[in-house]
Amino acid sequence: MCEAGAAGHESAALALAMLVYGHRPNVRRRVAMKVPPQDVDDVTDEILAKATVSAFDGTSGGQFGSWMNTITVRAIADYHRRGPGRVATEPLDRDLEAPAEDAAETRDALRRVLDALSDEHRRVVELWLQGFAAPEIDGISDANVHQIVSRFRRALRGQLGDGPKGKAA
Amino acid sequence: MSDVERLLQAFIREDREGGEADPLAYLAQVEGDDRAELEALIDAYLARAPRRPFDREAFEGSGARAVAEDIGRSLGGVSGEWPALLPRLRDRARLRRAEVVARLADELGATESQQAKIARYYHGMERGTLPADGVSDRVLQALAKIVGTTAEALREAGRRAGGAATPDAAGTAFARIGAPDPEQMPAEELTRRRGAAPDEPPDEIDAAFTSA
Repeated sequence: MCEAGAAGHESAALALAMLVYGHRPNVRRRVAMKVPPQDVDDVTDEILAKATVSAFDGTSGGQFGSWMNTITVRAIADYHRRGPGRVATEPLDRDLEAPAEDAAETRDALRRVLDALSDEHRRVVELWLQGFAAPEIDGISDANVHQIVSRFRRALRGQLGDGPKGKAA
Repeated sequence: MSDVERLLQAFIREDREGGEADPLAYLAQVEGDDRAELEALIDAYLARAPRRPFDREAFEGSGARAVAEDIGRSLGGVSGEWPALLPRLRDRARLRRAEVVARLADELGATESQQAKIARYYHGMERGTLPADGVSDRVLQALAKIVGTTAEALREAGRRAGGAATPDAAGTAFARIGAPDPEQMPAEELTRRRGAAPDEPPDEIDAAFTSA
């Protein structure tokens, strides 16, 4: 029984290590685009702590990767709302009420444009955002991929404040 | 192909080849609206990119290890998120633990002999061994002032996560990811060992940390 318990704790520890180690580079680079260099590690580790603790204590929402993304956007927005030099300590529900700053606006702009797409066009754009080139995307010609991506980018620029706020599809 | 698309593809290519591409180096090559768009697209890519495969050896030498240990103490302890939060606040305030303790003692009006007791209690807060619900508002207000946050925020962080009935079991297992922590001490033991004289009755410092 004790051995089983110890094995369980070891598994939890390994899972924790894998989560933190695995997600840190991507989270850190996202933070680095929005936060001054001296605060990047601090905000990154805050995000990892919040997301991981929530995942382990059962208060996270949905899939871990999505939850991590949500926390990342909110923590960056919160950083700018609070101002440099203050570490986020407010509970998550207070984060939810935080006014959108740059990071959240970008995320919202992307979501608005993606939501406006048809299912098929959204599938194409999602794959393109994951780095798939046109020939690697099944069921659609390269020319159509380029057209869909071009419209998507035009709409995204519109949402980001450049050009008409048209729909992508 | 536009500059934005060319740079995005180059970023993704470098990243996929294991180079952990630096987004700032790519963003520096464009300005204005192009930069805003490229930033949004790189962010969207990173939000969808697979996580790095686990490498135990690399993990041991990385900054992720300390983060995982702090989180592990939060999860395995009885102090909520304090083990993950307090060291970060202290680092931000550019204070060593001993300096926080000295200022805390000063704020609480502690005597020199009581400072050692405060050091042990504060250590318990950072290690997740001191029950968060026993720490008084007075202590949290003083600590918040020192590390630059609010007592309410500290109280809330103390309530979240943690609370495991067996801090030793989970906390030690999590700590085993890295180096063992010989200083980790259960709350009961911490309380039992308060002060220089074991038989000495609890004083106002004990009360401030253990009976809120």
